Amino acid sequence: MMNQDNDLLKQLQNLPSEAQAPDRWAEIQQSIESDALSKNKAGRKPHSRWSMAIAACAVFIAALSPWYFEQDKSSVDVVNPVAQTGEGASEQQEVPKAYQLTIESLQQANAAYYAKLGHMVYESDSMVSPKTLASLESLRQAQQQYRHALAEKPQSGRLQQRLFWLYQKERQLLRQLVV
Amino acid sequence: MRGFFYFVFKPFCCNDHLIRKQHAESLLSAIEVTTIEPENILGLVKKAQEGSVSAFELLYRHHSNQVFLLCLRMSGCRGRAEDFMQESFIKAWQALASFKMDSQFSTWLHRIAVNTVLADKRKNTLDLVYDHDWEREFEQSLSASHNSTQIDLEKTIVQLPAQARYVLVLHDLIGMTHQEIGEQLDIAAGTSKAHLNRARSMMKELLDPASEK
Repeated sequence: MMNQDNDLLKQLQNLPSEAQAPDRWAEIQQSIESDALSKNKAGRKPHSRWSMAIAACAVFIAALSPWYFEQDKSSVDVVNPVAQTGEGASEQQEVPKAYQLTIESLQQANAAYYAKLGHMVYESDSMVSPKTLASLESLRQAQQQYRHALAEKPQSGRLQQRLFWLYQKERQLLRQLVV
Repeated sequence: MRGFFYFVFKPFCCNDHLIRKQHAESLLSAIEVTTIEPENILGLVKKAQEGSVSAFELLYRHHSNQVFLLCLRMSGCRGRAEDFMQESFIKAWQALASFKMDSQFSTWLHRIAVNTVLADKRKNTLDLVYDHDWEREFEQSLSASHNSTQIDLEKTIVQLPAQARYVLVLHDLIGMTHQEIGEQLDIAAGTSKAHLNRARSMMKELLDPASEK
């Protein structure tokens, strides 16, 4: 019995410790690389989320501004075509027009700030605090509401003024973050 | 010697996949016959821990045949063993940082492979059918490394009941203690001993039925 045990153990111990394995390195390497890629993405997740949001805002604003101002100009022409001839009417229009131009330049400046901020967040470790982001978000929401209101009442000096003020606030905030 | 040449002169920092692929074919034979000294294995492990895929590839080349055979013995199926081996190396790469060099790298790798097979066993309770197709496939996978007697012995091992097989492989072939096996299989050390006795008795019976009667 003991001999049999020893024989078996001997046989087992004499077994090779290797067998010809198929080459699965390509699959393993692929998995390693995709793993590294997903880790990188996960590592940058909070950054990229902020930068994506900021970049999206910049694109949205940049895309919206020509449309909005074109619409605004055409609506002025259509709604009040006679107004251009009257003196009083041209005075009324001068105020919104001045705001329009200022808002347009503010939008462009803010879009540039957003782009720069997005780049900064993406490239460096600097993070934007949730409070600041919430402020920016609420500013953009308010701007959107005023833009909608202005689409209905393009001649409203008060709405233009409020929108102008909102863009200014946004610019101040972005300037603090970027500069 | 060729393997040593490859080990010494292949730069670890080389991340250029194109260059590596160009060299891969010509160096494959060298890699396959590479015998790496233990201290060099630790060096490779360190490099791999620092993120060198090239170093990990050498570790894979050096250990893949062992891990494959372990997976084959544990699972009894060539196809599954190939997948288990692949999964084990992927897991090993992911867990490399946790390897503290307090044991041999191969021992650490074997534990990962055993866990991989066992984790799958817990999910899939389907048993193998030991038919002619299985026998042919199993023999083919060992034909390059084993003689016919050894293949018969391997076939007998994989036909043992699961727990008895695991304990026999881990104790008699890998060299784990009953304590270690107990931890790995989540059983008591005494239970491991009982499984080993049962496995050995069954082996003797299967190899030489006449002698048991």
